[in-house]
Amino acid sequence: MLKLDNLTVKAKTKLILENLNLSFKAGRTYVIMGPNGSGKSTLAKSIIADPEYEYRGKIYFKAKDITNLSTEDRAKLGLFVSFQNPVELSGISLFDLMKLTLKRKVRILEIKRQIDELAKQIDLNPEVIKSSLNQSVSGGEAKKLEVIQACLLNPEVIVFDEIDTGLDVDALGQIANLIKRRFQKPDKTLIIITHNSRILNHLRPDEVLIMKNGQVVNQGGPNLVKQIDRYGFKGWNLKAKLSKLHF
Amino acid sequence: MTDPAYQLPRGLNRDVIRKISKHKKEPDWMLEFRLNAYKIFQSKHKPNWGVDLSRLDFNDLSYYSVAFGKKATWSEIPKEIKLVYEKLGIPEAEQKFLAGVSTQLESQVIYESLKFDLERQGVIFTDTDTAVQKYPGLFRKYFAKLVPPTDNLFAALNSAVWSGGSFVYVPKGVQIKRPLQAYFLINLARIGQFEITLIIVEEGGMAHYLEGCTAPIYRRDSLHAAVVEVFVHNRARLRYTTVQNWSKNVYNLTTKRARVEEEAVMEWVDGNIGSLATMKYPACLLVGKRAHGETLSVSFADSGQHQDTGAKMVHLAKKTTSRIIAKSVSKGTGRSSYRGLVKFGPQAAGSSAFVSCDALILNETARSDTYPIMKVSTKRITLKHEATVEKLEEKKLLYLMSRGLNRSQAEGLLVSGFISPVLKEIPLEYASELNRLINLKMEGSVG
Repeated sequence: MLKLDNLTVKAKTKLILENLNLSFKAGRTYVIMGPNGSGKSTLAKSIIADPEYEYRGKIYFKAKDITNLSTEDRAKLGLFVSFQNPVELSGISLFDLMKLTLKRKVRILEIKRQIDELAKQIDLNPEVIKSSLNQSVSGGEAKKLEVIQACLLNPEVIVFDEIDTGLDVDALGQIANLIKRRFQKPDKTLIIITHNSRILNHLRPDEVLIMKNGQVVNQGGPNLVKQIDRYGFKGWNLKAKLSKLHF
Repeated sequence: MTDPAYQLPRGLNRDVIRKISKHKKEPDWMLEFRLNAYKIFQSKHKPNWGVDLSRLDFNDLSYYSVAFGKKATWSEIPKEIKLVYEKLGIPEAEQKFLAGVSTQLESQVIYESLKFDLERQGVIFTDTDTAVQKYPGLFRKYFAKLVPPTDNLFAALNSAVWSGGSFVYVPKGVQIKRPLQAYFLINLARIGQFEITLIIVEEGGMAHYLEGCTAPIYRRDSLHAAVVEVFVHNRARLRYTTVQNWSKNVYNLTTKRARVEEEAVMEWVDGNIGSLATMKYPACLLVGKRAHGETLSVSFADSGQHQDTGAKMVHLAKKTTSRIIAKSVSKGTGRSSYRGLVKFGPQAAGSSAFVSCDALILNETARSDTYPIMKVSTKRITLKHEATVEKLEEKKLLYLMSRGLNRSQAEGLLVSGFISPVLKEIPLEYASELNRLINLKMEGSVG
């Protein structure tokens, strides 16, 4: 579904990701973990061609070279990346944005109906939907608004960057259930970037990737998560120790 | 191309003014008023502040033309004019929303309709020329009382050569729910348009007056110098909404002023999208106790344009309140200026004013300035002033583009969001037209 081929990402002169070779398959859920500053979010942003970075290497979506495609073209093809800190959009509601994005594809009344329905499912206050997007919302509400957008846009590759950060137990369960229903499907690839294994109790990953210093230092099954919970990322040589668990 | 039925040659002198007055069959007092105003005009100079007026040549304009005789019905309006109106959605609008339409072409009102029930209530909605002839007493009582020819150069010019405009009279206690609407357009270049709009709302009355401007044919520089005088009597309300979209060769230099009596409310809603250069600062003179004045203004300055807009609130009585919300967008080499005055006279104890002006700058080459003036001659008043300047943030654009919008859609949406607090106050069809015009500008498809 999505393939990163020798991807190197720089911000100004700083090297953030180095020669990444990764392949994400349809019908699978991936979890990316790693210490702060390991390059997880940059990896997410490189999937939507954030112009803040400089790129080398190639990106393929369904075997098509999308390296030179713009952010909006990648979004239109079916790539979605949630924002860790969604920007505040004054005077623009969720509905305004979705109406413009989905115009000519979904009828306006249908967009409205879907938004209301999704908000209900994850217990999001209707006032939040009507007001300026991401403005004066709680951390949890901002995350819910990201998930609703993902559901409406119905992409094929979905990257949730710290979608679970700052959520209470109930909200986490609601969001995870919705993600599970919508995106753990044979024709979709779900990528979860997280610091916390809580969400993985709801969304069992097929594969776990550990990043450190801009590289994937290990890749394995869900057992990796337990190791990280026990030992953390520091103080032991991940590459050496985890390689034994690799299968 | 329209062939004017009657058009004076370019240039301005006493003879031209006499010809205008004669063609309109005006009473002698009006001719005298015009000639006196012309004398005042000659004694004044162009302002040395605001927009660049160096290219404005008063002798290179024709001051009067009549494109068509007066028409009673819509079916008689020429096709090319209708086409413009159709693009603006006027015919449907008239059917659905409007209580009356008067459309001004060049200098004379050629089409107007007033619904029967309004007439029955004693409401007068007509063109100003007709008002001079038909309601001389009422007209002279209010005419040029708020904006006399001595006020400024352009008011003097307007007084000398004025033609057309709307006259609205709302009798005591009459509340008009639907907006009164007038569209103005210049479609001959080099023809100045100098209308006078005079609105009187008697005690307890209420009305909403709407005007929109568009200039579909571009040639050489044109001038629009209008005067608007509004009288809002005790406990009356008036909202005056303007969507200004003159072509980018028009100087738009308009004086708008309202006198607001006890517990009355005056609201100016002002959208400036077009013109080469605009200088316009709608004013409220709050002369009665607890009078309230409000200006909501949006301006968009594209490359080559300078929108010098703002508001004036003059508190002259106890417990008066005012609010100014101004939003400006500058794009390309465009320049927006907010120029505002809030003044508290010695009698204004217990009054309060709130000013908020926000500027959005789309490119490095665009410019925004703020010139707020506060004059306070009494204690015990409250004055709040907020101002922000922001740029279009790449982060916001990225967010929107990552959801599938292209760059110009994303920019357009951010601009719509920025001006939405004012758009919300404008009737839906005007708001959507304004939004459409701005989006067209964001896409760069209109000149």
